[in-house]
Amino acid sequence: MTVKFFATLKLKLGVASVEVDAEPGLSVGQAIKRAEQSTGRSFWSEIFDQQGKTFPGGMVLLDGANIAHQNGVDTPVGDAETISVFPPAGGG
Amino acid sequence: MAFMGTMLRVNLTDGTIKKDPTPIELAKKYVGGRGLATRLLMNEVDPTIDALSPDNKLIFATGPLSNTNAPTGGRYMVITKGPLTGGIASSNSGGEWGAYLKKAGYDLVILEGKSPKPVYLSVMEDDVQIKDAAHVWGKRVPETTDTLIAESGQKKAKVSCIGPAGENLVMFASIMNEKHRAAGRTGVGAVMGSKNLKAIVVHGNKKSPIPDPDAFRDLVKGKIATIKANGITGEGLPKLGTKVLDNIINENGMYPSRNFQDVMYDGTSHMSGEALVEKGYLKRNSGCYMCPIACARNVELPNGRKGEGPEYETGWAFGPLLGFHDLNVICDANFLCNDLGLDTISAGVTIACAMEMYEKGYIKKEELDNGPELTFGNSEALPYYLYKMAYREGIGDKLAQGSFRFATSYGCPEFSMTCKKQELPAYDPRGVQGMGMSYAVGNRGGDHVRSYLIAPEILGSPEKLDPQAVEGKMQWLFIFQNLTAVIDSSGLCLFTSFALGADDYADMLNAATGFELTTAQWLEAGERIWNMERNFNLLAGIGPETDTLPRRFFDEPAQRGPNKGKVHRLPEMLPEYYQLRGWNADGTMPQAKLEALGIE
Repeated sequence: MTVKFFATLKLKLGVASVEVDAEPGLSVGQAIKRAEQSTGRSFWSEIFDQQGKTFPGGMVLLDGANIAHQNGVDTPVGDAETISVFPPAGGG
Repeated sequence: MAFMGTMLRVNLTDGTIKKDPTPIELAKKYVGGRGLATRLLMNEVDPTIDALSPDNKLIFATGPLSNTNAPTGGRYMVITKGPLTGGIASSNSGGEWGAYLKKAGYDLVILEGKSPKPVYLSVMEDDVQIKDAAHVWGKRVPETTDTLIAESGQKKAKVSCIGPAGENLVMFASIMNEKHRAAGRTGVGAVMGSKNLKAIVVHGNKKSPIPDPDAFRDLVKGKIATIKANGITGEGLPKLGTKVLDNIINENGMYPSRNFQDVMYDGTSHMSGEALVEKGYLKRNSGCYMCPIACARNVELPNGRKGEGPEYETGWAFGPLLGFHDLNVICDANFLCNDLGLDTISAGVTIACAMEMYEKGYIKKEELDNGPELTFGNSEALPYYLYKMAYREGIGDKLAQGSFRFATSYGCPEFSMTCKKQELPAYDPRGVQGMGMSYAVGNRGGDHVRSYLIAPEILGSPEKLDPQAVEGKMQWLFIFQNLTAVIDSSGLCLFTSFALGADDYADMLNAATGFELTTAQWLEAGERIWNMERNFNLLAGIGPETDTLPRRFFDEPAQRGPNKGKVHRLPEMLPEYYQLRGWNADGTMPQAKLEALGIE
């Protein structure tokens, strides 16, 4: 599956996305850890607090659906194709 | 007590200028700025008048925190009866002009009547004069600004002015200050144009009186630290500005394209805030008066054109909404609107409406006078019809009335994406139920900054709400509307609220004014302001039947993305909203509600 990076995270990593293997039962959190390994940069702490919840303004979407309204980082990726990772951002 | 204590009353018909005391007791009930100015407008103007007649009044107002070192304390508001909605018009701008009006010694300027010839108002502390503006009438915003600063003899003088769009009474003309900052929405620029008033130039060196300046400074330091430590205001907004939202809103499946016919746009990554950085167009960020956030974009295009922007809404309205994503075209159109004094949201949504009507055969090719075809994806059409609107040439004369009047004149108002005749911003209501309600019941029509429920519904600030849920949303809307009325009226920028809460604003307002009100009392002032604005609209004939959305959002489900199949669920929420507000079940306002809030 594809893990896409946005906003300041994309600028810091210098890549828009990476492909990760996603076997059945993999969680969103595990997929993001694999994406970290693939980029060679640690960014988990910029997105999640110590409880694994996204910081205000940050979000993780699984095929567009926010994992905050599912089972958080433990949400299984299922047959989804894309995880979108946003560090804290906002505007209006 | 934070107020300068004096307000200017300028009669443009007979040229008289009075200096009246600022009504501080009223300010205690209505905070200042937006609230106090709306109170004064209600006292002095019949809501049923023609907005562009000399009977209307135009009020430039600052808040108690303007011209203090409170974070973002430089804003001002323009309040009047608006031509676009026919109801309360109220538009808010940053930069430094608001702070400099107070440095000149004045909290508000009330403009009455109509000048027999083009003039501008010069406010240089005690020296206040109405001056001839024949030489700048017809000029664009940058030339007007430079000319009037030179005439003032003060390099640091600040100019708030209209461009050709305001002079030509375009119903969504803006008022521009410092060339790039806009009191953009609700057509306040047209009211200024109707009075033959080109500009207000301000300069001074006075300080706002604060009861205990040292204590206030210490308090403010803490608030600034909170803003800098917040991920949104401390890093996201400074680095990428509001345009960081392009991808966020698109990925969440609520980024309207092709006049809201679709809820996503496939080329978003090519024109996003990230793209603006990666392509090298963004040169630096900058901030308004006393702003620790600094979200402004300073852009230089490959063609050498420079300017500020685009903000998120503008980038969307001049790109994906019209079916293209050329950042050069988007930025240039933004610069053009700043020069002409046009509201970018209403301008873009009006052109999008015309494109849908053209593609569906309502507008004939002959009506375009050999101009570019009004088809989605045709970026050539954008600058062409912006210019035509500003100068009211050809079909631009009809477009200048906004999309509702334009589409209605062809018998198809359903293509106008408006609430109360004002064009909607860049969040599709089918993907975000609370924000959709905010549009529907907004006092100034379709608008995103009077209760920005995107913060909790999408961004998770201060906590994450499910955007498709309807339960409990109206309580959030109620609180956001009231708190935003306080923030606006205080003279601060709404962006501070990503980091600060109601108690923080109460702290700063009390320390600046010495009023010693509780947080609940400040929020009640916000509720008072909201109800007063609603009452103005009801008296103007804008009834509860206008508390709705364009039919598209009920009849045409989202076609793709995470909100596929969703429509807006307004009927499930509107009764609860009226009940929370203490209004009648039909949305009218009981006299007892006005009395309970102390609204005279």
